[in-house]
Amino acid sequence: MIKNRLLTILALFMLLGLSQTVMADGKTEVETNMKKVIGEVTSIIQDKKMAKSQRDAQVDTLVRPLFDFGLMGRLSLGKSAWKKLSKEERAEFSRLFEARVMRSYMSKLDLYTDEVVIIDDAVKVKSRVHLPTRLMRKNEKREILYKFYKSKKRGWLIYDVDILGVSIIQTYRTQFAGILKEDSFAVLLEKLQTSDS
Amino acid sequence: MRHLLLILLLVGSVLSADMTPSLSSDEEHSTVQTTSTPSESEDDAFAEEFGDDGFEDDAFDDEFVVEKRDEVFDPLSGYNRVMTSFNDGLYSYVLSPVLFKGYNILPEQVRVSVNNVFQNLYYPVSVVNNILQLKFKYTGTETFRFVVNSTLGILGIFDPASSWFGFEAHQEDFGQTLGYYGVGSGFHIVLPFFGPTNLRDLSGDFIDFYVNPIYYVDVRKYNVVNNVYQGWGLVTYKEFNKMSLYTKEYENVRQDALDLYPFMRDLYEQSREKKIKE
Repeated sequence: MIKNRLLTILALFMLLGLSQTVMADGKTEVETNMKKVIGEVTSIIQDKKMAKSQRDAQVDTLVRPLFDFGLMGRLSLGKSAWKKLSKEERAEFSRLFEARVMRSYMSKLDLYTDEVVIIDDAVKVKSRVHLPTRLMRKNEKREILYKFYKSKKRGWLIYDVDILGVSIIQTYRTQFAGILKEDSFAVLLEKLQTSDS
Repeated sequence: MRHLLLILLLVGSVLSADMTPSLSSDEEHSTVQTTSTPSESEDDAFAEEFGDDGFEDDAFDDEFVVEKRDEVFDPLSGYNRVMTSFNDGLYSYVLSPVLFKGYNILPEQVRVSVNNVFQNLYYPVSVVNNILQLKFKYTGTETFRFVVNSTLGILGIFDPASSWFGFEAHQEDFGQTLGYYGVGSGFHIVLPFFGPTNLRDLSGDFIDFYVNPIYYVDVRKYNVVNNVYQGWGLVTYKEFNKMSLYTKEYENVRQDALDLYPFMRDLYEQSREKKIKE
């Protein structure tokens, strides 16, 4: 009886250990997934014959599920500002923020000429995974860092991107804080909608 | 026996705590993909907030500390704002439609070569600052680059050090050296035409002029140019030529700004911080 139980415990411990090693390492998961997506996106934008609208639509379906726009929006706005908003305001903000980030991403595709994306090894930073990539063109190199966190519902998701060391979320945070200080939330929503400042 | 039960209980609790998220993640994975319709996004935002995806995870706050940047010390903000608009206007109404339009008749490859020559001439500044920061590996690669590009690359017009030998540039300036030794950025300053800088980096630039061959320094024995005006002329031309290579990028990134001044300030300060860390 006791021996049996001990065996069960031992088995459970082993299972526990095993599941943790599998779960703790998001690096391979992030790397494989991003390699796949970046490869597909690159082949789409390299196809110069494809219409822009079709290209955008295809890239959109590939890229949008990678981001946690809700979290990105909340982080950009900051905790105290977010808490002050009503349910409707939050929904409206999140919707506009997502649209804006996607619009900005899509416009970057227009800059693409013949760059090659090199994906480096993912780095575990506390509970997050950072994926450094390099955009190579002739002798020039541009570093883009994707930052992932593990969400309970959807697995590893991007919550911030550093382009040449500049965090997208941080730039939004500074701007949002300034607009909220000088103006109002309504002005912020308005500015989110317009594509030019 | 009692101990065994206790252990079992403990193991059980640890296990259940560990397993539930992994189980639910699989379970809910399929539902999430279908709930991205706008009508349910409201509930989603709420559910997530009270779940742990949002602010309940305080670790995110360490990464983006509000006080650190939003309350940035910016005594010149009034002037900087005006100068940012001025520079933007200069770009939109003079540089872009007139000067770049004319200048960019020169093929891109020519402008890249001009930029290469200037980058090559930056060697004395770069090597001094690499040494000051004790970066001996980069001191070596920068020296190798200078020798190879000045000879095989014909006075720096081409960059064989990088394309043939794979030695990438690693330029350092005195602003970075100051940052490396812990000097803070000081306040932000926007210069006419030259754009964003800060007290530390601007001071650094003036120090760097002493070893910068394209600038005129009276106390120095050897000068490429004859006077300060020619020196400034070359410095300005270098920037102008470099800018002509990045007009598309600038116009594209500029569209991302909700408020141009803090946006440009962040771009500058953050990218400088990164360069100092490297």
